[in-house]
Amino acid sequence: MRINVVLSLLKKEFLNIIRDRKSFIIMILLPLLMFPFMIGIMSIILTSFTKVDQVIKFGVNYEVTEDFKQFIDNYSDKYEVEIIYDTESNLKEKFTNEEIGMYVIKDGNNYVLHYDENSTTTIANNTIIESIYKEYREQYLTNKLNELSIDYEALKSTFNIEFEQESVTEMGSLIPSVISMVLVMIISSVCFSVAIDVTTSEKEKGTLETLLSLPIKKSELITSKYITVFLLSTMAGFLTYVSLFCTLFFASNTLSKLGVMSLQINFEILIIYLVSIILISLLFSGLLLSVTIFSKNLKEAQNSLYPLELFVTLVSMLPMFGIKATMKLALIPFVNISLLFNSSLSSIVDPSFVLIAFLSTIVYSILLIMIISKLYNQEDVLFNSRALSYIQFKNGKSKTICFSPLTSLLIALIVLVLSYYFSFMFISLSQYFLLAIMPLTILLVVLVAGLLVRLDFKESFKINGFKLNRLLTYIMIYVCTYIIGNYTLELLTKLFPNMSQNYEIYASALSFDNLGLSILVIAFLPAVFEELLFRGVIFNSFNKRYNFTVGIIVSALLFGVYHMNWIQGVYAFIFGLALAYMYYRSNSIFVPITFHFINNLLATLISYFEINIFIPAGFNYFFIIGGIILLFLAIFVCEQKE
Amino acid sequence: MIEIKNVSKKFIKNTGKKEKEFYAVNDVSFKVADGKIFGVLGQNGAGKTTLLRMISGIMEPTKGKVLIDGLNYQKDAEKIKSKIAFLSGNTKLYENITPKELLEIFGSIYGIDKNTLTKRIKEVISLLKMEEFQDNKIGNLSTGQVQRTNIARCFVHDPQYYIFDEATAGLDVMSSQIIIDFIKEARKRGKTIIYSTHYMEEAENICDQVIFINHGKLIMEDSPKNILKITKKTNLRDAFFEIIGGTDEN
Repeated sequence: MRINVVLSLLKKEFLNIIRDRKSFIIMILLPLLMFPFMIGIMSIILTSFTKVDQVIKFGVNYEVTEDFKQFIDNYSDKYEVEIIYDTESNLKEKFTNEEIGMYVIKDGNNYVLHYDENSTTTIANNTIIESIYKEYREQYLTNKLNELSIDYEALKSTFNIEFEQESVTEMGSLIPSVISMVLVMIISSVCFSVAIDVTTSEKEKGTLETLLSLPIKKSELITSKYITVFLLSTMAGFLTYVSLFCTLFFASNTLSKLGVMSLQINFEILIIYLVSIILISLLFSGLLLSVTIFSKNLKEAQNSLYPLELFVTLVSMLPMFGIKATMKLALIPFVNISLLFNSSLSSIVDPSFVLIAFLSTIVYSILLIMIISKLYNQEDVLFNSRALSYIQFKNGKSKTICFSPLTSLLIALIVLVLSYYFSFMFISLSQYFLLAIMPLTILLVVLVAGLLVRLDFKESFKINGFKLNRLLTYIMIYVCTYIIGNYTLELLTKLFPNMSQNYEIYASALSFDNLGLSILVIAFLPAVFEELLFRGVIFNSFNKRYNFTVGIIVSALLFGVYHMNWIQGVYAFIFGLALAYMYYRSNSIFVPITFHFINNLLATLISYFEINIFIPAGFNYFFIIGGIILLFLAIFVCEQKE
Repeated sequence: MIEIKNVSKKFIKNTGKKEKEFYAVNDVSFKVADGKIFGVLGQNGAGKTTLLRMISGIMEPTKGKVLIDGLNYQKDAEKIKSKIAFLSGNTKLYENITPKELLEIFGSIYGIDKNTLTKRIKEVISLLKMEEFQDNKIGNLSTGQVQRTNIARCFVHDPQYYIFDEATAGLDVMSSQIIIDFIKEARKRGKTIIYSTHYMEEAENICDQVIFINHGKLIMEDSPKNILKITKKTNLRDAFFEIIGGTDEN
């Protein structure tokens, strides 16, 4: 990496962005105006709560005493109080027409004050009327007691109540979270616009080709872009703070009415503010850049960025729900920043938390840059041609499926969500509902994942090409995996006795009284649909995009995780390897479906008839080793015939 | 000296449902001697752009080698790129930067030291008559002015090799003449120019050596004079069709 090259590239990026009026407005005006705007709106709402009319009107349905009238007249110089006499029904009508904010109905010695809790315009007026009645009552009582020659004031002082406000936190608990959320929003939107400027628009405007003809290394190019996004978003964060403090300073009167105390700014807290801005910018720059740099055009970049931004904003709201800062959370990106920020505003700062958050974020950012640099392939990015890179041709193979590593991750994520969804349904829903929902859901996932990788469905789900003479080897492979799988489990349960906990919940949820129904729900439907997904889509696409090893391992791993418990998961992983191999060799989805069905059928029958399988103790290793040898023999035979 | 050895470039084309592989450039070899204007001729889509992109290091060949002064892109990409200037019809410049700033930035990326660069920029600006617009934003310049700026940025590091890909396409007579003049001027100073175009007349006048490319394959390499002699035609356009017709029949 040559520093002068990076500096020249930086100069170019900065000149180009800062002279662009639209980007400039987003970067300067948004951070500067956000807080004044927010606090302005808050204070407008607030003043409507505290605004008192010149003439406060309220209705009564009884004759007011002269004494009370005098009390009202002397109550305050700032406003007049007008009493409206009418019947109860008329008063009610005036109240609903909003002519009066409150009316008082006398019932014997009871004075009932009627008011609307939700009306924001009458709150201040009503509070005054309420206190008039309360204070009048005090005066009335004092007079009555004086007549009985009891000193009420002296009596009251024997049980006195006083209020004194003391704040543990400098601001209300909600305010710091709102500030941190706004800060994250501003930094992310600036990052968003700059990241698109330096990557996607460069591509769309055609300047990237010019840039690539210069003697620049990939790492220099990406570093300069990263630094540009980082510096500009840090600047936006800094401006946000300046604007926040100015607003707090100038609007301190309004804010103190809101219950927000003025911020005490000391050196330590200022440092924390700066650190949190830098951390947020570091992460965002890397994250957004890694998306935009691979996007073909603006629309694609925006489509992938919006969900990301939403997710991060949600995460930054976590402290609102009262999550406390722990050392483990210091390692989680974004969560640590928003926790750090929150604690800094309430001036409870743990230095080790700051250190861990800071270091881990820097490590994540460096990792992000490294990953981007590694994945960034000039040709794919520049020409959108899906040109085969020379690396793929070095292996002497041409791949027919091209999708980005991000798509691979997305598919894995979809499967994980699916499995979580099923594990939830297994426990909470009825069996018949499950029967209808499960195949449909998997089918949907098959469709979505297949379209994502642009899979040739016809070719992937083909059922021809099944040769009977291969059947023997497949049966052998299945028997071997059955033995290996079961004995591995046997061993593992001995080592980790807690492993079977989750499994028992499943097993009990899946016990059906009707054998036919159990075979359909437990054995047949999963066999068909899971094979379509894990072998037909996942194995197939990863095999074609990467290679056989990646395909078989990824599909088996996901198949294992999909079961959401250790017992089934470990077995499914081993079984998944075998199924993928069978699919690969037979080139027909029918083979893995058949063996998957047989396997599930066996399990169903065993649990239905409560058969105890005899497992000879002490021979575990022998069986596993024997199984593996047999397996290799079967695979050897299979490969030979090819 | 530029040497192209058995260079191929494979792409995947998405035709409806199925993806097809095809060669944009298929097993092409030639040498370009120093101080010559070398024309790459062919129809649209023949593979000229892909070939020139591989020579200038923007694309990597699927097979074969590109050697420039004996260096290859796998090892010395930065060294080679400093000796080359690439200009295509699609090449765009940054709209918010002025020509002078652009030259400064590009010059320092090429590793020219500051004093030399300031001198060099002055020279380039006066040579290409860019004084009156050197401090305007590129976005506000006319097409001809942009073209001159584009040439200036190719010229600033005084490269040995110029690679011009359809540089005159879509330009009016005056603007394209700026480029043609520049190319002739560069040869006088001993520079090597690889120049692709589909305007055969243009090439006929200025090229020392031309190759014809059709469907990614090199079908003829010779000087324009010899080609006219062999095909017994009066201009390169007719000669080209003659040769294509001939190869298609074979």
